[in-house]
Amino acid sequence: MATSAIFILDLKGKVIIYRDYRGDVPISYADRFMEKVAELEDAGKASPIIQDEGVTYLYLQHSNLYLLAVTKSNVNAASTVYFLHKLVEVFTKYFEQLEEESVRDNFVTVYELLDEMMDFGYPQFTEANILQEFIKTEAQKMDVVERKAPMAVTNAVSWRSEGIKYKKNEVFLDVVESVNLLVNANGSVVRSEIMGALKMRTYLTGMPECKLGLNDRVLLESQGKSGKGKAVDLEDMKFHQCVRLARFESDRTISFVPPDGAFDLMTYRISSQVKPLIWIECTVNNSSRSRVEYLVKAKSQFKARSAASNVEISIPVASDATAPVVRASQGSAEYAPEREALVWKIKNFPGGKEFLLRAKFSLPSIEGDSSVEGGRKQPIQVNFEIPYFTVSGIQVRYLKVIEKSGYQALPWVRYITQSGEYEIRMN
Amino acid sequence: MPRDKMKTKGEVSDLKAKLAAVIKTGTLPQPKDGKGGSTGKGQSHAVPKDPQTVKRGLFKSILHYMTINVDMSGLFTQMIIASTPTNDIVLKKMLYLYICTYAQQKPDLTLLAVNTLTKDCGDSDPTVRGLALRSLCSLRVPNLIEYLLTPLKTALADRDAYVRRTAVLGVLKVFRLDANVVEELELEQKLKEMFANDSDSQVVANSLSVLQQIVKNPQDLITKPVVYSLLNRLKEFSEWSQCAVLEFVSNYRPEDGEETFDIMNVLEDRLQHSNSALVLATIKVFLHLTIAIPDIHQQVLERIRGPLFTMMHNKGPEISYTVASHLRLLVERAPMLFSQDYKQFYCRYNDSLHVKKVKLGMLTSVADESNAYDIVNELCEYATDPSETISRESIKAVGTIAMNLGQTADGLVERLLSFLDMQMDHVTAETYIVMADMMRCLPDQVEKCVDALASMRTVEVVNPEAREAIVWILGAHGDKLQEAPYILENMAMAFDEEEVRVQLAMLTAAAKLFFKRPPECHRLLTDVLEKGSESANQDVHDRSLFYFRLLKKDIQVAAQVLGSNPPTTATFAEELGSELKETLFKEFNSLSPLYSEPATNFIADDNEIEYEHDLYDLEAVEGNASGGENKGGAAYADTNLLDLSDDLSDATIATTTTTTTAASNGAPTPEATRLEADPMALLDMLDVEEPASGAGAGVEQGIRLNPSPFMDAGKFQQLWGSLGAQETFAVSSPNVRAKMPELSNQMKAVGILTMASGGQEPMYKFYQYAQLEDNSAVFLVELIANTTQGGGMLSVTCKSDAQHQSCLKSFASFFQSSLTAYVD
Repeated sequence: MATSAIFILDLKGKVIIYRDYRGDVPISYADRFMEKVAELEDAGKASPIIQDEGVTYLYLQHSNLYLLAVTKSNVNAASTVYFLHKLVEVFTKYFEQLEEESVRDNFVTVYELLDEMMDFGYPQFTEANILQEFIKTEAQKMDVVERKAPMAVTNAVSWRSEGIKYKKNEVFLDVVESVNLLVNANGSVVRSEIMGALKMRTYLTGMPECKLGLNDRVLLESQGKSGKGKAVDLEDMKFHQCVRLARFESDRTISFVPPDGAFDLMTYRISSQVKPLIWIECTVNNSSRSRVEYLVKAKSQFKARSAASNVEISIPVASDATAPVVRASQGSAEYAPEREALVWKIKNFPGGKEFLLRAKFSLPSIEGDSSVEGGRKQPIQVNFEIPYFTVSGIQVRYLKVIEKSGYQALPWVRYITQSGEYEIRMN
Repeated sequence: MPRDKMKTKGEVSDLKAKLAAVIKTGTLPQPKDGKGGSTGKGQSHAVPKDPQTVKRGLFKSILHYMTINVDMSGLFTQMIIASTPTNDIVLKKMLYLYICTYAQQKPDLTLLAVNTLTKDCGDSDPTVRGLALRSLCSLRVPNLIEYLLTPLKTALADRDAYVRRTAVLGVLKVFRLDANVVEELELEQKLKEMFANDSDSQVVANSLSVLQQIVKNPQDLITKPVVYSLLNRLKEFSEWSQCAVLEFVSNYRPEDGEETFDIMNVLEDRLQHSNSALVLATIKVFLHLTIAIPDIHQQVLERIRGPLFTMMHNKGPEISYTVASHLRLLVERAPMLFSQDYKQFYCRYNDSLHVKKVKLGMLTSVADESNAYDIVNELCEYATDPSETISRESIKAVGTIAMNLGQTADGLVERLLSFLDMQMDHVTAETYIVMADMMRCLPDQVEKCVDALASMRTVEVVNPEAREAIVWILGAHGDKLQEAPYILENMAMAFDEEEVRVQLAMLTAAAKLFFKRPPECHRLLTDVLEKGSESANQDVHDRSLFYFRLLKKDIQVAAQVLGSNPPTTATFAEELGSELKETLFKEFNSLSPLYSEPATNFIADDNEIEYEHDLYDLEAVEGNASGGENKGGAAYADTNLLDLSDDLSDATIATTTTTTTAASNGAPTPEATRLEADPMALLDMLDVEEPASGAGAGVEQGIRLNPSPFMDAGKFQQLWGSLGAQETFAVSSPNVRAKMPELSNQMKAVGILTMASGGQEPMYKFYQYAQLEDNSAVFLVELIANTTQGGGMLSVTCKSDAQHQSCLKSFASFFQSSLTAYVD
């Protein structure tokens, strides 16, 4: 049940890194992999996990690279795929950008890392923070001579190493809620859900003990007792491995020793129907064979004290449309032929407002197969951010940092609601 | 960096020169230094002066070439000399990676490195000890095992957990090379102790992984105390180890319900972990523990829905796909439980193609009376998806749902028919195909479907599968459609241009319709039968003639055969059988649910893997073979080679004498041409030198073998499994190893050819075959050669079919005597 080898390939399939763990998959399999992928892609059957003659290839693409795990056994698929993601995470931490150039420049370090992260096909150490203790990049290596054994080994806390120091101790907590919405052409909401995350960045000295208190409403509901007023259920809460889950079960406090740097402390989902924050109505008028008119209405359906920023509404337009004439009551709109869409941007969109857009296009006068073309349609897609606002009403009441040296840490908390997969179908 | 062969060759020798210079003087040769960057990337900014930096630069370039598959093995000696002794850990790491890569090609030189490696295993720095041991165990040279046993045993008791952890996996590496050693040293026992008592969780986890591979019956490892102690310290383990532990625990069967609850309570919080692999592992434990308690099992399914839905949309398309595939398995097992969640399976515009496909499958499974209309409405949206695959799959899904719902499918069929109005070619085509299937299942809906065909324009349907479907419908239900014969007549005009499948369908349709509407179809039938009987395609030709004769012979019988109405089908064979579903469920959290196939379908068992690998990878076999010869140093190899060449010349003389008589007997086909024509024969590495063929061999034992029998690999495999009669014998001789390389040739001389061979010290396998001269019987042989020093042994299994039992006996004794004569 183990991985036989890890490859890093460029997009043409040339091997940049090949780390063989079990000796049953020679380097030539990289070519077989590329052939198979090409073959499946042509057949419209490509998937991230493919098999060919008893060999399974699990891969993902990151910038201009393929990260590929090859195995001849019936491996745990989820774990192997997750390992590849972990590789991306660790390499990114090391080289800032994971792409062909950085891997080529640092390939010795890459080999060192692969050596520690996996042995004989079994994952070993994968925490970037810990690995950094004893594997340095080229630049760091030159001046650091002292060597340390992988410390965290003996630690109870495997995600944080000891001896971290900062001049200024700070914690940043972002409460981010992404709205996924799908609306049918007739205006009925097909699906609406919110994915929430508490994203942290910690720059703290020593082994700090953190405590996070959330508002009662959230806590009550997560216990299954119905609160008053608009109840929003947080479903399926998931925590980073640093959180003491037993503690949360008993008294609902989230206490943890954080890893150093950025991580997701907690994620949750809300699937109860919420009023769409930004509502789009679009009517298309084929006044004549050669002209088409769009009338788009965008409405913000949240309280006036909040405002959405960087709103971008992309309305699909026939690929052969020309000569656009566009007028928007707010913001700017442009025809983007490469996306086959009209893109309407509004910098600031306060709550409770309604804006209009009118656009006219010319179509080639011969209708021809436009029926075929027009049949395949994209939905309207909307991007936005609403700062200082959460749909769930989740609030951080306190964030305490206690460390035995007794320093004061500054907590910074931000709230933001943003669009996820926000789609409105057109007629 | 594109580079041609010439350039890389130049670079190898350039690197060699530089290495030599560094060894001598500690710096690079002066004139070349000016070029700077050519020694490696990222080094051009400063001209390095101290030897350590220079060496690092050189080693880096060497590893770089090694990675892009340029053979750097020629630098082996220089690499070792240049880097010993050193305290530079990065240099060490690079050296060890290099050694591990080329150890199998250069086993004798590797011996030089072993010394350094074993010394490093005693280093004061645990990182170095671990690194050295890991590399030592990864050399994969069986002859060097003896050197690593002592360090390995010491390391298993090392005070540093990092080293112990490496050592534990080292045991598995040794086991794969030579299982006996592990047994002799009682390492299994040692690992079991570590598994139970070690303070470091990663050591425990690694021991678990290794033990599962090396103990005879892994099920024995699963005892209540072991499971409990693992679960109690679960949180100490890394995420990966937790996955491994949970996989292990999922095989445990609690004694009673209470115990089941206890375990689930301990693991409950794992479902909230952000690592999706861990969540899936936990889910597997829950599902497997409760399998015998249906009501709890159902509760578990309800509990795990949430986490699965969330994971399906998180963390990138690869994880989505993995999770969705597992979810699909659960949905198929208990669609009822998920019927309220159908919206979770709606596709998102940006979902990847494969995720969408899995979701469509789940939507089909969960559809029931309560949600079918919503689902079908949603599916209709996908019919316009930019991807043709998804568009077609969604139409198929609508059809399947309609068929599953049967009686209540009225509105759904209308939705399906409405696809025809969309006037998109692939949509229309797929719709016809689905319609044909549906009419087989739902006789009530036939009329509606037939009506929809009335306005069809067949010319616009290009897809042959769709044309076939249309023709089938016209043939089976043409009595209900006024225009049916005329549509068919139109299509028949271009009969010759249709694909075979459409032609076949057309023949049948015309014949069927003839019995329903004889006067209108008479001309049509004559027309297609005539065209069909002139077809170059065997099937079309035969079917035309068959219908023609049947109609001519007895019109009543023909009416019975052709004119009957199609029976109603309840299900289609493509659906997963319940047995398969159970197997997949057992293999939850692996690759099987993704492929919807049990592991046995896509995983060869371990031994076979290596064998197959040797067959395909010629280079490796060559490497191994030379590795075998070089065992124990160059001098020894030389004497071996001498022995061999003596033997060879003797043998050739001996066989040529037999041949002279045989040749006059008229021995057919020159061997050389046969070899060229048969790629499988080329695979047989050892066949390169071609001795004279030994026709008519085996006369002494009363059987005559065909001197050049022929068989391909596929046939061999098929026969090997099916032949009934079997003879086994063994020949032991101390010379086995020395005689190995020429064995194939020798046997060929007596008429026994080698299909495939391969292996590694001390075990080689040969698959051979022979044929009686009159070709009445074939003999297949599996020869396993054990080349252990002093105890050489050839174990042989011969097979033939049951009727030639006696022939087989004499073949076996002939074979035995030939073998004995050769190896003694």
